[in-house]
Amino acid sequence: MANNKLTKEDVEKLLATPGKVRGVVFQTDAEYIRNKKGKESVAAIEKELERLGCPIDYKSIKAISWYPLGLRVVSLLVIKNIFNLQDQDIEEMGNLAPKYSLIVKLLMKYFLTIEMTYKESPKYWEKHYTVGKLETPGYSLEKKYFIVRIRDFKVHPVLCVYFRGYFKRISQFLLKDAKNFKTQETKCQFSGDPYHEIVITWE
Amino acid sequence: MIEKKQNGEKSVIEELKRAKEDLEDLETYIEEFSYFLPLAICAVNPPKFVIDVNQAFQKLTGYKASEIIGEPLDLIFSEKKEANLFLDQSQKQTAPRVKDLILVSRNKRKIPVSVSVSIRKDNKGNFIGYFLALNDISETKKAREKLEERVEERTRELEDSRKALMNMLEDVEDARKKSEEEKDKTLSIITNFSDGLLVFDKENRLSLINPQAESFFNVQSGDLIGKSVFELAGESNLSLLVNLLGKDIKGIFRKELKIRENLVLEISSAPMVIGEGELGVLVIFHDITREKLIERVKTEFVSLAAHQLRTPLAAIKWTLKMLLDGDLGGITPEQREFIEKTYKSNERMISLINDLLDVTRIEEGRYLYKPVLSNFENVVHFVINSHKDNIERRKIKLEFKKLKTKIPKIIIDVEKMRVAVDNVLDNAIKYTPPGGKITVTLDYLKKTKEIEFKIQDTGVGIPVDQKERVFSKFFRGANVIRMDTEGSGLGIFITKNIIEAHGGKIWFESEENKGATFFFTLPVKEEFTEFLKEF
Repeated sequence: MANNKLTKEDVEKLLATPGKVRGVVFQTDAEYIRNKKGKESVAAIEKELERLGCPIDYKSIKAISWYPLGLRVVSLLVIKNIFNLQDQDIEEMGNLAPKYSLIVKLLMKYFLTIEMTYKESPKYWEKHYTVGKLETPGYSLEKKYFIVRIRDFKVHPVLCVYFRGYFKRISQFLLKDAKNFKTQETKCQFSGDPYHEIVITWE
Repeated sequence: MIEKKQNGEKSVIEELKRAKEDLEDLETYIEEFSYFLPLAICAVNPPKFVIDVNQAFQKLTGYKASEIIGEPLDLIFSEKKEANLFLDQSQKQTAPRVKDLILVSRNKRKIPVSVSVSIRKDNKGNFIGYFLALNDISETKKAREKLEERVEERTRELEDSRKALMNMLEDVEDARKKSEEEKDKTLSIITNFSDGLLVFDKENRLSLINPQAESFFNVQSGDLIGKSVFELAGESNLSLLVNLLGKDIKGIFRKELKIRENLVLEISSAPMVIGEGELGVLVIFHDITREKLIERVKTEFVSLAAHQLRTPLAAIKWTLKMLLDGDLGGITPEQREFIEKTYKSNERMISLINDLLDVTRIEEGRYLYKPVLSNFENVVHFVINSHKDNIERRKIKLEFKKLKTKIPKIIIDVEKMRVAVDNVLDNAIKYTPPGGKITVTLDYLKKTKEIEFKIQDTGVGIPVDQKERVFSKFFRGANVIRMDTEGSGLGIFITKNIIEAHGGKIWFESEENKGATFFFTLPVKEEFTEFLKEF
């Protein structure tokens, strides 16, 4: 167990975060933990969330239903704290999330070509979040990179790490013969930048 | 207005709420459907990454959803190129396509699967990926392979059987050819055989007549084949032959038959037997015309020579007799001794000439008999008595075993029969060393109505390798020649002819250095006329 336990005050603050998120993110979090730490691990998370006064029954979460964005951050932080996850674990969690995501599966129609995927990515964001905005300033298959930007989404730094893994997976879904994908947040609102910018590269 | 607007918003919210509930129900339904569906299904995006799998897929491949989602689809197939090509080609088809591929499970087990591909399109008709259904066909494939193996095995068996059959047919064909060749060869031999041949089948029907036989009897095979012996009797050229063979084609051996003036055939018949089955009878005709001619000329020569020799020998005999009797004056003992030796030699010469004349008469068929009803025992007594002095001189014991039962009289030429008995007794005396024994036995065989004469000696016997020639003219055993005894080698030949002329049989048993026993039988003819038939 991590030492920096969330307090009810922390939770209250987080729950006050504006915006909503699709229930699928809770499902992918739970699936990750279930696979990594065993079936009983989800119960531990649920118990901690209950203690914090925001109980979540992961089984009853509906992928396409909207839930408070703050609750999703609480869930992620509780998981991180309980299992003492490091940044690379959170990135991995983000990377694996699209695998379990019903929304991703439903949105695969936009993954027909790289161009189309890139062009349609803002819609993809809108399918998941009611706040923030995804931009696609550019990509180069020749130079082997994608750039995505997220504006107006200053929620919690843990999500920056999470998104690094998440967008890596989306790229992995598109580039069959590529390998050694890497992601880097080159700009971050928490560092004073006007947006988050994530650069994905590969070989 | 405000109220109306509020009602409108309320209505939209209600619709959204219902839509949300419907979506949630749909999600639950899809999850349950996917969970319980026994068919392994996966969704693949256009770049061919697995983006979703159901429970059955995870069970079949051994991959958890978290492991396989996001991985290229070809990860699970051994024929990767083929799998990708199959998906690419499927884009051009509207109907689902099916292909058998080998799935490689997480634990590297290879599973044959039937893969059905369906193309996913959005509501605008854009291609957005694939659905794949994987059906484990291990059992089906095993059954099919087993069936194919069985078919292959059966095909092999059939092929082996066919080969074996072909070999058999080839063997049969070879055998048939050989048989044909053998048949042709046999026919060729028969056709070109210098002897005439007739073959009768089991029903005594003529089945073959060779060209030589056709020539002998001046007949055509086409007119005779298939005819019975009875029918052949009607053919004038064959009547003599049929009379000889009889209705049942009796077995005959070297019977002579004069067909016409310049053709004499020697005829033999023998059954043709294979295993225990009788195929018919073979009749062989050997042309002995030339041999008969030579024999006749030779006999005539011998007869002439013998006659020409006998007259001066008779003159010599009587002259010597007169000298020995003193009719021509006295002679000294030394002269007598020489004259006596000369007289005996002359006697032997006369005897030889007489034998030769007998032989020529026999061969010319002029060995005339004077048949009278006689007591054969008296003939034997007479001959034994005539040799009495000689037997005593040679210190041989002779026993004549008389029968208790009376021997019936038989019709014989007494003079010739004395010659016959004399020849066998003379041989027994000559070839039995001093101290030996000669036993003469007479018997009457009631069953066959025959008189059996037997003369047994303890003499030198007859060598095994010479037994066959005993009854030939001029035969003298090698052991006898070494003994330097007298003899012309004609005695037994003459005896045999005399016995056979009386309808009897003659034979012998012998072991070299232990002696010999000669037997002959004479038939007891009840009627004189019956006897005469023989002549």
